[in-house]
Amino acid sequence: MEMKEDKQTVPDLNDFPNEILALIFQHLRFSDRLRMSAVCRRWNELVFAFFGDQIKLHLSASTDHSVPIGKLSNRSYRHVQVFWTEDSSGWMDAVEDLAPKLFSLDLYIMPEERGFLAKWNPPPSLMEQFLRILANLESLATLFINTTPTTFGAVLEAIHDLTNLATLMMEAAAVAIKSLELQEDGIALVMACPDQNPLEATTGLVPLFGTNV
Amino acid sequence: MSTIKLETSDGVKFTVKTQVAKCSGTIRTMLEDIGINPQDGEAIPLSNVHSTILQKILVWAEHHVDDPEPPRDDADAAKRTDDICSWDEDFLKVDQRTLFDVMLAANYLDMKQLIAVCCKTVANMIKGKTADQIRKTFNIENDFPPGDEDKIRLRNQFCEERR
Repeated sequence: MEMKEDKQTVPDLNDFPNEILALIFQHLRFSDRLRMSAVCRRWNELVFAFFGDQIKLHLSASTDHSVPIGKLSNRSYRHVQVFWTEDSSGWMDAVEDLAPKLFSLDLYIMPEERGFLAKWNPPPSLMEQFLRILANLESLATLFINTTPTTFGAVLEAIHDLTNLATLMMEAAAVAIKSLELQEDGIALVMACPDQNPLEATTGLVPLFGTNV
Repeated sequence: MSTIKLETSDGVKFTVKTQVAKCSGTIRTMLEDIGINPQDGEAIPLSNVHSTILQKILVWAEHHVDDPEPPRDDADAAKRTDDICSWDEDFLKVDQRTLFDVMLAANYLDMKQLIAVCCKTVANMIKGKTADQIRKTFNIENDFPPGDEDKIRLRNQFCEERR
């Protein structure tokens, strides 16, 4: 009984308002904050509320597929990097859920056999989902896409109405991009030669628009 | 020298130098904005603070009363935890319950510098600990539904700091 009484009067760290807990958390390093997110529900929410924009989620073939990436404890990621492969297509569903709140997204959509890069087309269902995701990136400021040249046109169309987008980087591993033409109603890509031998191709990392534009 | 009276939750009255009492933003506001007149001899009630804790806080305020105003928005200083002065370090070598009571009172009294040094002390207690060790240290209940903690832990493996 004495123990119980004692326990009741001992102040709990959770008696403190969020602002104080955030003050404590800000003194801690990233790895400590991640560990703190597993302490209790409140801390989990606080870590993501205060430091969520410093956390980047990586989804790739090496990521454990048994890990659900939903909205557990209101956790929502602002920065995500996804490597699409045929057997990790489930990650795209996670990205679709997170899309409206994302600030930055790195998307890698490529075939496993890199030799077919220039002529590869994503499966239609993937392409549909890809475009759906792009159209839902209402908060997105930075987009990096690494994919095949065949998808460029559709991608540019899909992101046409994203008003918050400040930085767009596109990389096509198998094509040399000759020039970009800025037009009043959008951007046109002029590609050197879509059929060129991938082995001879230069890698083009093209900032389509930067923060100054 | 001007003094004012403070009355704690357990009814103990303290006579304090006005300058020292003004380390508390809450008391400063009462005196300056609301216009409570301490000359009347009436004690300011601090209904959320126990006398043992106020005693301790007054020792701190007395020591720091002449400190210069800290620079605002100093992000680097805010992140450090190794800059606690040795006097404060000794001052906060107390059991956890007292530390938390001091923190709660400092929060109620709006004493930013004292809160800051308490937060750094608590951060140092968290540093390097696992979630389990943190819960044990601070007597925090694990209120995740079964399995959620494991999921979070797994998921955290795919998170990295964004620079």
